[in-house]
Amino acid sequence: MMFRWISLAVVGLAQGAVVGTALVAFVTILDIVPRLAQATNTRPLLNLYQWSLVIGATVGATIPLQTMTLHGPVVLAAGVGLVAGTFFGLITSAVAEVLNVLPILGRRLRMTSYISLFVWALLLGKALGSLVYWLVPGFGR
Amino acid sequence: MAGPQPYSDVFLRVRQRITAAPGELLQVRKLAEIAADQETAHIIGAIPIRQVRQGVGTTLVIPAFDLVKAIKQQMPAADIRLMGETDTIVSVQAEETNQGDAPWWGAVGVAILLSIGAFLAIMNFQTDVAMPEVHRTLFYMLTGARSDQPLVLQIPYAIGVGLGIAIFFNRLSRHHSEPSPLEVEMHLYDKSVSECFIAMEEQRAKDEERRKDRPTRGQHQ
Repeated sequence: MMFRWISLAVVGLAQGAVVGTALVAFVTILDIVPRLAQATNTRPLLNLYQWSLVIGATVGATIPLQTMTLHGPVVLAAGVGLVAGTFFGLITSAVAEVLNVLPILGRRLRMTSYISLFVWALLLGKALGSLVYWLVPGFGR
Repeated sequence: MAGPQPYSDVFLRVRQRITAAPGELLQVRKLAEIAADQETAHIIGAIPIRQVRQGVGTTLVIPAFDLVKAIKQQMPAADIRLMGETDTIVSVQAEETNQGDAPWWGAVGVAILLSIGAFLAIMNFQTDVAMPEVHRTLFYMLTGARSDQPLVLQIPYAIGVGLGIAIFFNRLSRHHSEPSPLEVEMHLYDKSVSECFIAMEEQRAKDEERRKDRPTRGQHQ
């Protein structure tokens, strides 16, 4: 019995370690943290951002346990939603840019001066797509 | 003073990318910026390097070393110092003025393509990562209430997606003191393309030399 518990704990720890490193590797390769530090002019706080990621990921990993609740106001959910959406917006843009979508598009089609328009097209498309997904029955249910 | 000085310092800053018309005779002046005494600079600038024989739409690479060789032939005493690039990439174009951007309706088409693509991509993504389920659990964790469709969480989330993209591409601050990641990517991409052109041209030149070294090979077979 004891052996079974220990081996389960080892398996769980190993799985968590691999998933955790993969998450950090993903966020790192996308340059999300440097990008935010640059946008807010807070480069010296990189260490804090690192720990934020670690804590956030660890707490997030406990979501399936779902035994506890904060009993907070509904506004809290709205705030968390906005922040979570911002994070996903950063991630999706960064993924597209790792693949050089816009630079290649602009160059191939000789449309480099319209790239600003393309950014807005992506932005509105994603935000509206997400809204429709939640509001129209059949998608998010 | 009659003629250039017998011995003169010449600094050449080789340009990375130029455009030329078919049949144009490329002179040193077009390929590089020259810093030397006025008369020397004038003579060196007029030295022909190569005639463009390729047609419109092609690209050729001129090694900076070709410039040195040509100048040394005419002014053996010149002390040439190369700066800048080691090769110049010449894009052959019909008219130098004819390289503006594509028409606006093309750009509108691309914008529509991108927005519809993004519209669907985010939906697929949210289904793929089981986001409705996660949102329901998160809503319970935060408020203690159960909701099948926690729109209070989800609508701000959707707005946040747009906000995140805007932050990523530097669309919010009016003063762009630093280049946006898109501008950085664009620059890196252009640079990689140039480097690739040069590498391909070097390989081609090497292959040609090898063929010249063994001209009879294949005739005996």
